[in-house]
Amino acid sequence: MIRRALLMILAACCLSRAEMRLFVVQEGTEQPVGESFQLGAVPTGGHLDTTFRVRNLTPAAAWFQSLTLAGAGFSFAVLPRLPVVVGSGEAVDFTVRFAPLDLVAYSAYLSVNGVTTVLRGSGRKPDTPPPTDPPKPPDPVQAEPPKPQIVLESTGLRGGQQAPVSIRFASASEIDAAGELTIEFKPAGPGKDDPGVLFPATGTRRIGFSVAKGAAAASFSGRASTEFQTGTTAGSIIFTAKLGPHREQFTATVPEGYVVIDSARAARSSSGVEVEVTGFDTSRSVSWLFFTFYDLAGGVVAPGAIQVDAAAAFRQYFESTELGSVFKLRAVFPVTGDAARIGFVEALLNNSLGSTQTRRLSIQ
Amino acid sequence: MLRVLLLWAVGAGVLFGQSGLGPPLAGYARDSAGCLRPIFGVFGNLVAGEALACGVVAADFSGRVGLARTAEGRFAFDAAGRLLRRLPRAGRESARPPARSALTFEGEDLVLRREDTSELRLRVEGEVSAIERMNQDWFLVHQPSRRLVVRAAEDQLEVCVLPEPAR
Repeated sequence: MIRRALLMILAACCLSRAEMRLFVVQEGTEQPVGESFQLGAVPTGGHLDTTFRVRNLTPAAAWFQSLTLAGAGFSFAVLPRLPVVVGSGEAVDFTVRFAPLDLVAYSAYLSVNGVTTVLRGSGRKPDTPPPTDPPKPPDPVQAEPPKPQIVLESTGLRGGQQAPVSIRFASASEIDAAGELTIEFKPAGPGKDDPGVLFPATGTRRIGFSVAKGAAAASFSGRASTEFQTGTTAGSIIFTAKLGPHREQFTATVPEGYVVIDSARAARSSSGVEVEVTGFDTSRSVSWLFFTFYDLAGGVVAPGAIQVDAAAAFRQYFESTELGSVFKLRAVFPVTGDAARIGFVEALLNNSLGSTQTRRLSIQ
Repeated sequence: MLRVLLLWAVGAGVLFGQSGLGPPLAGYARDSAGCLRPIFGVFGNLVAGEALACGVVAADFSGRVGLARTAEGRFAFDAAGRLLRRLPRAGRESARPPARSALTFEGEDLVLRREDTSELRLRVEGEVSAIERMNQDWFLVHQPSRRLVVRAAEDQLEVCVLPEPAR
């Protein structure tokens, strides 16, 4: 009996992916949706609700079992109860809300039973002040702030970045309220915390926000969003928004990546040539360094690339520093002969993911 | 014939004995409470250090030497944040190292003018109350509600928000 039920579920899963078709409903008519769909330009601060329809075009019933949407500025306004069996020729509707905050292009991944469609839209200047919902008489007993939704406007985070975060609501708030947004950082590796993960506006991992009656988004000291720093270490940034009885969380990931070089310079000194590289390594796994010097004509100075095993030194530095995974490397090369004829240098830094090279630095 | 001595290739001990790794100093900046602080990190990921001095009404750091003005006078400090000396109240402007570029606010734009007469522009929202140099190519732009860090790259001005010191 159990085996039979399992087989039925498996069969339904396999059938459902290919047999549901996605349509958009515009002015009462269905239009098929392909790999991407353009929602158009929407005034910032406002929103556009678009109804989509999932129709079963096969002669048999099929499961509509999963529906996901991922992308800043996009949310579900109306969701069906899933999973649901959709009869042959029958359809289920849902509504996507696109609410841009800035004058930029937006995109989101809409997935229906695992089949993905890219939704695109953009923000434009509002023609008139954004519409507000008509005032409703407050219910003195039940009025409470709406459930907050934490929205990151960057789809892919990386280290060393300041990114905006905002808080929106599915419907306008019925009351004035105040809440708090906090962040917590959990490094991916065994290393220390990264103090660079913070809200610049407070210099801490905590920031207050306010909600005005009738508003569909929180305000951070008059701004629709606030910046946070992603730090320079791979790990998870956990956002928690507290508003009235609500406590919502969202986790963003800072991935491991190549060494990032923020700045580099080279200069002659009394003792030779000094190369200085400033950057960070989210994976904290710098291993080999290579330095190649060039003469003024662009020829490689013998013996070619100078290779240095810096793994132990970097490991020791990352264990002791209190500043996450940023570093300044200062390398002094003693030179015999006419140092003035050495014109350029390139530095290459390897970590466990690959290598990053500076541009050809002119030796000042 | 040019010859680079390969002291580095001998081993990591030699390399980091002569050279080194450390935290990057992005510059020095005056916070909203008038305290002068070192700023560490890379562009877009900055952390404010402990205050060197408070009651600072203006500050400027060239990358090698800095000047801080307080009600008591003007003081010079070095890249490590050490006080070098007190400067005379008037004149001696030559004590300020010559700048290779200058950032100004004109209309709605920040404008960087370089020694070679080239210029870069960046539009910013809101008022600008003061601009100070926090390192050779880094500037601190004071606004009523926050402070921006502007870095002069080769072909553009980059901007990020300077974290407030934790209180």
